[in-house]
Amino acid sequence: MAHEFFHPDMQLFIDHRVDWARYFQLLRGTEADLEAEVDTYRSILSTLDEICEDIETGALGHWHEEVRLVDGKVVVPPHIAAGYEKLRKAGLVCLTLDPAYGGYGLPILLNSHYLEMVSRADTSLMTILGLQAGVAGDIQKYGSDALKQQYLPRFASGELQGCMDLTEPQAGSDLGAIATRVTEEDGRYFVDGSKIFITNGGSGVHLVLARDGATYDQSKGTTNGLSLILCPVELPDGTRNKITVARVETKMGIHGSPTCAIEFDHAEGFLLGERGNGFRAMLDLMNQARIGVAAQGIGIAEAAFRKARSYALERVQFGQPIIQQPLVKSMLTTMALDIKSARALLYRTCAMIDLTDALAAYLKSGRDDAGDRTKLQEEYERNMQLIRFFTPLCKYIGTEVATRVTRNGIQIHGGIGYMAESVAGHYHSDAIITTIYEGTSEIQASFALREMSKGALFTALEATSEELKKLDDRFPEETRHVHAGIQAINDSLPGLMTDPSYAILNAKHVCDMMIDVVVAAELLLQAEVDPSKHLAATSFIRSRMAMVDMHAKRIQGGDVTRLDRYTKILGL
Amino acid sequence: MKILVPIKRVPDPQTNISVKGDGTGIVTDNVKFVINPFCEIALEEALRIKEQQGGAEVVLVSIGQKVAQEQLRTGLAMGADRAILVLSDDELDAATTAALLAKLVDQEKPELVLAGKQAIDDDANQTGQILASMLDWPQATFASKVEFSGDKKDVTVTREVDGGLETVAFTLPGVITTDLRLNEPRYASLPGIMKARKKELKEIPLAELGVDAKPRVKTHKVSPPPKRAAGRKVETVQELVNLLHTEAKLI
Ligand SMILES: Cc1cc2nc3c(=O)[nH]c(=O)nc-3n(C[C@H](O)[C@H](O)[C@H](O)COP(=O)(O)OP(=O)(O)OC[C@H]3O[C@@H](n4cnc5c(N)ncnc54)[C@H](O)[C@@H]3O)c2cc1C
Repeated sequence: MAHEFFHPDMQLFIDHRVDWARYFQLLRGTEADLEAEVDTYRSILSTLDEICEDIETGALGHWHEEVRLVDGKVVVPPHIAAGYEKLRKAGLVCLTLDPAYGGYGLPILLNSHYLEMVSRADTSLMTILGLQAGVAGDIQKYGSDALKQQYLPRFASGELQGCMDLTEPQAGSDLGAIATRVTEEDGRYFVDGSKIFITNGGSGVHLVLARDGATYDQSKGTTNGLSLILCPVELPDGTRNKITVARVETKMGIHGSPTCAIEFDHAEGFLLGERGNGFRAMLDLMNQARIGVAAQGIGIAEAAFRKARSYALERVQFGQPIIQQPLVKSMLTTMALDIKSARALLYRTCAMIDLTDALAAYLKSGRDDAGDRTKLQEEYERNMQLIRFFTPLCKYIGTEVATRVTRNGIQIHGGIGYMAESVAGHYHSDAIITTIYEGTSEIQASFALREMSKGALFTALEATSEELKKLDDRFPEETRHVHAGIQAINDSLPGLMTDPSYAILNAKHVCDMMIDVVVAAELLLQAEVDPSKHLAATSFIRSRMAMVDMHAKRIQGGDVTRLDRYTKILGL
Repeated sequence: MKILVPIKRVPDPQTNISVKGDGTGIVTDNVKFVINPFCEIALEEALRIKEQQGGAEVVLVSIGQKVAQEQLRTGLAMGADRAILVLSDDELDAATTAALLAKLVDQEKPELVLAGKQAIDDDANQTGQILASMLDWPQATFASKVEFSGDKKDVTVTREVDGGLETVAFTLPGVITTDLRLNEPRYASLPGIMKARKKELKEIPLAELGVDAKPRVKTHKVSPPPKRAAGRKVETVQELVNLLHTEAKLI
């Protein structure tokens, strides 16, 4: 079996599901050589395919090796350093960065394929790479020219790495509780405070979210008054900044990924974006990171699925390979469809982000060769609304799928899956972090719900219905089920509208329902261009539309005991 | 120095190959194709020579269908300077391939042809040798080390032969074919991929080279190797020793 890091689903998406002509037309006008551009993308992913195979081989059996703190320096295990070096040498660190700074300006879709592939090969390594394009992108978007010139070329070459420093002991999901202080002194900025759980905290550039000293007390408890500060470990004049890695954590998974406690002792930094408005700048970075973590989850899930599939073919019980058992077949197909659905949502969201970036570029340019600006402005705004909604959904489903799939991966391995050296077990312990960092699943579901209530729900349902209508003739049976799913969602809305806390109580169900209908339509669109996908689409629709119906009925039921009687249920 | 590196498009050694029902060849649908690993080693060596000597030009050649462009593009992305694709839809035998390469050597006048020792699809291990004799050039096959003299006119090659290493030397021009341990090929890099788009990839229809391409070798049948019989588990070491003695007659 070929290893297929460059997965057929990625191929299909790049070949058939992205309107590259429109993308390049908006981005650059007519002069773009479409075929050559897309061919380049394929070459990049083919090269990555080979490098990732190599990285996976190098990581095999080294997953338990821990990051160490040696004389204040963070030292990653050798296989992580070697993997990074392979990618760096191949120029594959900051794919999306602007070519003006030595990057390649590649689409998010490509970046997310890249992260999925690296994650499948070695997800600890992915945690380091997953940050780079985002951190550099934030500097590109919010930094002064001097900062950009100073740092971005070194990000592009992979010589310099970055990290994002948000979390503090009392400020996890609730970033309004951030207490780290940034003080202005004669136009210079200084940071005091401690951060915890900082991935890649040994890197040369920290993007720190800190509370502005001038409005410290007034803004306390809110995300207002936060500034985003770039704190380099080495200051431009060559002196060492006052940033210390106080500790490196040991964890249940992603052992090769540095998770650090950082102390800022009047460390000098440089403002990114507006003073006191740093949360906005950080949100850009976090949104990109969420897409990245979704890809990470899918990568781990794919690795676990492949391992389980080959084990099920080999392991004989009752005189036959266990894959012959209907229950094992069911587990494996659920895993496969779970991954397919998370992919479908992520890839189409990425394609939409890329198109929207291109729209933005066109609208900002003075050109008028790609269509009516007012219309495109409307499309831009509608897309932005959908992206704000789909981004947390991608993170939510990509990572929940990762934990489910890897859990089933262990189950398929039986007892051997539970051994300390089990690869299946390793995948699961790695996968679990994905539903926690970059905002937990609960936070993603709440964000998505908020966007839904601001109107994204209707926009998304409408768009999906439109897509389905075009498929009615080709797949009448399938679309009928999905139309019914949309109807079920509509029917459950009154129950959600009346009581906000009841809506939050059901946030994950609502997310699941929405994901299932959007993905159903996407899988049918894929089946339209590639008939071999038809079976997966049908199988997905049969099982998931029943779930949508069930969630809808439950929401309509209006049971609130979990809200107001929970103390009794919990025995409090 | 100009170095000519022939590369062949072959099925990925990682993929499971299946034989067509009628035994006329292998199933190529859904099979990934790559640069023959030995050719890749030859290309890597050429690139290293170029980097060490500066000023060298690395020219790739492939003979085959239009799709072989993919492998040439990969080679260009790894760092080769330009590429030539001789278009042919037919399977060519080693002698024809060598004759075509000899023609290109006449045109291009390289000082060195660096080729893989064999292609992993037909494992013929002949093209380099036939080419050298057609050109009447010296040859060093199965190279595991390649060193140039200070004036770059002579080359010393360490060869992997049964039971040890052999060192040979010749004065350029000549043909070297590469063995597995010569080097570890690099990956194409992102900057390399971008640059490759602008590099020349010339296509020449086979007929234009005026070489008699009538096959001298005919493939009668392709069949998969026999399936390995299932193994057997024994209970004790003693039993194993007994079986090795009585059945396998190994001890
Ligand atoms: C390995 C690792 C790497 C990390 N890397 C980074 C990094 O690079 N940079 C960084 O800044 N941080 C990082 N973090 C921190 C991470 O982002 C936080 O741990 C995460 O956001 C959750 O915060 P918390 O741990 O304080 O959990 P809490 O916020 O205390 O949450 C505990 C539980 O309560 C739930 N909960 C909390 N609030 C709500 C709500 N409003 N609605 C519903 N449920 C809620 C949560 O979903 C969770 O289930 C990392 C953490 C780990 C473990």
